Amino acid sequence: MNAKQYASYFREGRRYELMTEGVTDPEDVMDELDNAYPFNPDTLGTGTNWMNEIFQSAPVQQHHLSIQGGSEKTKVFASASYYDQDGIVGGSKANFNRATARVNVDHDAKDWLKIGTKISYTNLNRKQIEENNEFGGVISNAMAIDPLTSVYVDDFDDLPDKYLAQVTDNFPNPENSSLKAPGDKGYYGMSPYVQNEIVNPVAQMNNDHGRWSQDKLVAGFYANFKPIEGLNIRSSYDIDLSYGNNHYWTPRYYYHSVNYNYRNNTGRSTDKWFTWQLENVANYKKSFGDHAFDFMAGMTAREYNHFNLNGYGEVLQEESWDFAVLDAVLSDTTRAAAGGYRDENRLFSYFGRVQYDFQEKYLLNATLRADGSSKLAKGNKYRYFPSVSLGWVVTKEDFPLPDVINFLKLRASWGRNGSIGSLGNFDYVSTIKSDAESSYYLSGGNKLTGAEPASLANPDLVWETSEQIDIGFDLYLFNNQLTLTADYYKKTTIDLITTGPVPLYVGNDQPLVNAGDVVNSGVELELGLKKKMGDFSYDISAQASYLKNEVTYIGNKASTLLGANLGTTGAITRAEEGKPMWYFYGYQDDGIFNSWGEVQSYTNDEGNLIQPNAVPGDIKFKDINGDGDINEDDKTMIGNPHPKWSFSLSSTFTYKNFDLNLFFNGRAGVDTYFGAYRTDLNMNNKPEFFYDEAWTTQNTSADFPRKTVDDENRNFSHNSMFVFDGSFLRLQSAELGYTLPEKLTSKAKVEKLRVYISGQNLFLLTKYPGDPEVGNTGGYGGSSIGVDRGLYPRSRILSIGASVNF
Amino acid sequence: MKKIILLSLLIVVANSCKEDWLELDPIGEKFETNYYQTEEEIFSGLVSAYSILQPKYYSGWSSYYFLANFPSDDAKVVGGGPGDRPEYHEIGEFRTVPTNPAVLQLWRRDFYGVYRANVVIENADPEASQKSKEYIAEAKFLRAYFYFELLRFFGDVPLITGTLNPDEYNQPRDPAEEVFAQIIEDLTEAIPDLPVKSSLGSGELYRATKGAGQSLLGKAYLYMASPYYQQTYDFPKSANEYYELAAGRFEQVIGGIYELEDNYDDIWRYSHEHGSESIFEIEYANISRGGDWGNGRVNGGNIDVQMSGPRGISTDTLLAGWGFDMVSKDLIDAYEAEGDSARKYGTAYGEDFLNEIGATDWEKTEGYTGWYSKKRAPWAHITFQSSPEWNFETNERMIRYADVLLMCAEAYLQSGTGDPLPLVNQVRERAMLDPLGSVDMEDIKLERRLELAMEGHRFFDLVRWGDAASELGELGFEENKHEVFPIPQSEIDNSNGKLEQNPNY
Repeated sequence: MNAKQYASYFREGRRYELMTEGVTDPEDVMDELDNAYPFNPDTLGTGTNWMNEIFQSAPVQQHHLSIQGGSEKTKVFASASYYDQDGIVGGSKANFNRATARVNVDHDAKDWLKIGTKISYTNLNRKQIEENNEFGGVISNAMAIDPLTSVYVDDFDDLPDKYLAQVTDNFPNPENSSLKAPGDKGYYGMSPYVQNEIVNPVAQMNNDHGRWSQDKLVAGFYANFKPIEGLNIRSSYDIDLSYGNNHYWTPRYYYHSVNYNYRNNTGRSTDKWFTWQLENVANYKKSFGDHAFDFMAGMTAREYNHFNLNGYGEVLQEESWDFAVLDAVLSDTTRAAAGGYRDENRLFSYFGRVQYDFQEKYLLNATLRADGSSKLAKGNKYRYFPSVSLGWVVTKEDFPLPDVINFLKLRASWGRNGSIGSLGNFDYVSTIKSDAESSYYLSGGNKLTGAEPASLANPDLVWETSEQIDIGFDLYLFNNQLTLTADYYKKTTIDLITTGPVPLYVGNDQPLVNAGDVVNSGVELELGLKKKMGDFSYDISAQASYLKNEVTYIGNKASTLLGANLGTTGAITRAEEGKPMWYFYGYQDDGIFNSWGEVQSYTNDEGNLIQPNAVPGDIKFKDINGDGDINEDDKTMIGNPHPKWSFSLSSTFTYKNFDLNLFFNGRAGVDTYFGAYRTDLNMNNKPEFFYDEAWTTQNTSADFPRKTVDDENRNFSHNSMFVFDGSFLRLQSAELGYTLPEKLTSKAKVEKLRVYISGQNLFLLTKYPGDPEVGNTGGYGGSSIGVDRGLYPRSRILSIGASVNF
Repeated sequence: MKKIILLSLLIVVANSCKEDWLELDPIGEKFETNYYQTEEEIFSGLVSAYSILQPKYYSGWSSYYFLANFPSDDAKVVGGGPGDRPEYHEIGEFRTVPTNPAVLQLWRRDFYGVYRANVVIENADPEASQKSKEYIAEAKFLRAYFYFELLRFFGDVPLITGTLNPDEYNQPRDPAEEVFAQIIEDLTEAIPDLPVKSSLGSGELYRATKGAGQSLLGKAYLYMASPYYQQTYDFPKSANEYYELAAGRFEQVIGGIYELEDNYDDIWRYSHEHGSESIFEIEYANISRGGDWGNGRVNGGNIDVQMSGPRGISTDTLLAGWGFDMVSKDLIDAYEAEGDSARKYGTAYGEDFLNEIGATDWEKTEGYTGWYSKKRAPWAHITFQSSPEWNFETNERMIRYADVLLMCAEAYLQSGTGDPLPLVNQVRERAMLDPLGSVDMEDIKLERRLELAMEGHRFFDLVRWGDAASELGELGFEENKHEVFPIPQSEIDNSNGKLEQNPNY
């Protein structure tokens, strides 16, 4: 809301509430309003548009150079690339850059031996702004801070009176502190109305000094032997070595009386990751007349290592990067800390495959893998994963088919594979942990370090397995100009690894267990169309898929699991048998009460009001369990975050030297939960539609409840009013290119010169008030799908470039 | 030939990697199965049992103090309004349902405490040293403490005195009589080995002492003697016998090393932590570096202090808080009716005080009473300079001498084994009130309310006296339901239905 709307929202909302409370005397009403909200909406104008203040356009650069060459026996490929982008929120404070260099060499040493190596080095640097977090992310702050506060104030004395004493006491030289904005902009404004985690986002960005840098070396060596005809043995060793360095410092700051920091500090952590992998694969091909066999067997061993060292110190000699050095801090020992850890895990797999085909007409493929992991207990380390697939190329048959059909293949497959990605290294045993949680903090500032079992043990833990059945066909028509691929699939995840349904009275954190099954089933269609007509040609490919997600088993009696929290009002997602995984969980609205009559006629069996605190304009909630009261037990499924339909369209058109690429994507039949506002802060700003589309006595057909100040009816609880249709269509990218005529470029010894203009994220069609493609957010271990917490928006990128081939 | 050598090399590599290669031990961590071998390890286990006293946020908001205080007539929940921490508002309005997350976390805290105490009791060798003996005694005190809290909040609960195997996870609720018997046994065994407060060094004041054990045991007996507990449970002895037993325990505390603070307002002051009146405190410190509101327990500072401060103020004396646990008008009236200005002053502060310290524009949200809790006031000097909300140092005074005096007076009055009058008058005198000439149960009830307000006693007192329906009925209390909280629904589910719900939930 802008300033005028903001002020009106509270005044009108409160005025209406006073009326419902029976305060009607105009003078009393005015007194009350002027006391609580001493603003005059008519003179306020639009105020600060915080979203505009934090967003900016940001440059992106991208360069890529590659060279190929070598002799008959030796091939060399080398490339270098550089990418640099500032953030659209935070600008250079959210800069990301990456430089990569790569060399690949392949050499035929003997007629039976080929060796090769590939090496790539990457350096990346990232500065990051805290984003998708309803508790103090920059974007949610910009949405929540009031528009009456200005970004900067000219003079120190213009800061809110109520903060001045505290500021003066703690910042003897405010002009040389983080309170002052760079240049001559003055001081950062402070909101006297909105507090807690909500702060001036521009000041917040300025005080965010964090750098992450990483050096990464990925290298591999392989040798390929052909000892006899048809037998191929490939041996390879690969490493992934990377060093990371996270470094930050925080100045002394003051945002308002709840959010401040009077001790500056710095922290640094360095990480080393090292993974190596050894793989040996033997492959033997043999044909007997119409029968062709291909046998394969192999093994992979992989080891992962991680080392971390970190330190933290307080009281900087100077608030700058130069003094953000752990040895240079002035703090005493209890305020400085060092830490570190090391962990490792291993994976070992055997696998084999048999391929057979008869006249390339009947195809059979069978595989079996055994995967073993150090993350599971002895006896459960390995699990077998078989798969089989069958194919029939109908167009290879002798019987006549219509001429338009160029190729038709029918396919069917069944297979299993395993996953333990979500497991920690020792989740199957109970380790002893000694950390902040197990320690007793004593008044006066001592800490007794304690130790406790980290969780209950579960030696029975096994690999999570997904089983997939797929039936489909590939069809090419009209001289391969039209291609159609269709598949039906059903993927069942069994032994889903999740927190175990062990009662808490057992006395410790629940172990991870295999306790859930999820079925994803659907249809995937892909249609391709390409044609060349003189100077004009096109190549269009369209994909659509239909998905149904259903939890079929959860291993506790209630058959439910709670998912991610949102705001201060508890879990927003839940898993339950027979429903989609992590559906939105909240109260179901049944419209809005339009009159006192409607409020008073909403009664239970005993004649009591079901919503005794409601007034007209409040949300009517469904009494799901029928107990005559609205409480936690009336929460139900109010939305599905999994899209029913996903689709994309990619197309290329060329005309003479021009080419045009368009890529659209979208989805339908999906919900997005609008959670980028805080329900526990009374004076926070709200999205504009809360104002424009609010119920009023004049507008009783509105979509949203009345302007709510005292939310006694809990209109702002997790409820279906905030579930939106998350369908969208996006023009993800478009590129128009022109290749200069050869006769022009050949003079400059240039083989090909193409110039292009391209754009990403050019338009978005959606009913959602924002970008509905929020994905999985907020760090709740996968259970926060489709919950919008104030997301870093996708940027619209426009670029101009040239590619030159010599 | 070369080819064959290379090939056989590969085969060797492939075969040398068997199951052993996947056997890894954690680095820098022990397993539960090889820990608790030394005295130091036993002690670190005991520390973790103490530490679980601390969290008021454990993957969700759940203050053991708020949960005891909100359903009383002393406090209002308030905060940012009814949508701010609805789980707390539900409890304050007697609308608590079995899925209330705060109730679940309270349950969890107590059972986690029991588990951590059990680990120490199971593994420590009492013959090993004097220290081991004391550690076991402290663990038994803590087990009794956690079970007493569970009994008061939930009634019958599973009685678990050792670590369970997976096939024992589905436990029924054991009768409260058996749980009381365990508490009595644990405390009786612990008391001889618990240290005396005066023998503790300055870094050891957190420990459970002999006085704490005796007070808690007396309190358990007093509950068993009280009307509601007598009606609800079938104890082996009569009410009178339990009153006598209670008085006997309190007598061991009274007249010893404990004394009332001279000034009521000092009791909850930072400078008087572990003062002369203090018998058992839960510690809070200002050295937490902040944390996250996601999973895990928040140890360190007393977050209820942050929760209890006035919203939106900015002063040098008092920091801004989140406006919860406001003092009810009803309690203020009770002080004023008695002319009890000293204890009112030590319990609540109002708008006059805020104006005096220069506060302006504090937020008056739905339910605002005008009075804030002084016992958990966010004084600017008791927190750290950054992340103040995580760092309030106010210890929770769980057992203090005035409480023991009044409990003893009650036991004397009911059993006739002693004279309650001097005990009550001792407490009144400190509050600068005129001494009473005689004492009846109504006097003791009022005295307990005024003396111990906003310390989490009121609701449990009303319940055990059988007065809850008459005193709290207007606030929504229903008899035969709200004396106890609901058993958390997920616990019933995860026990595969072995646990049964409390009546009328």
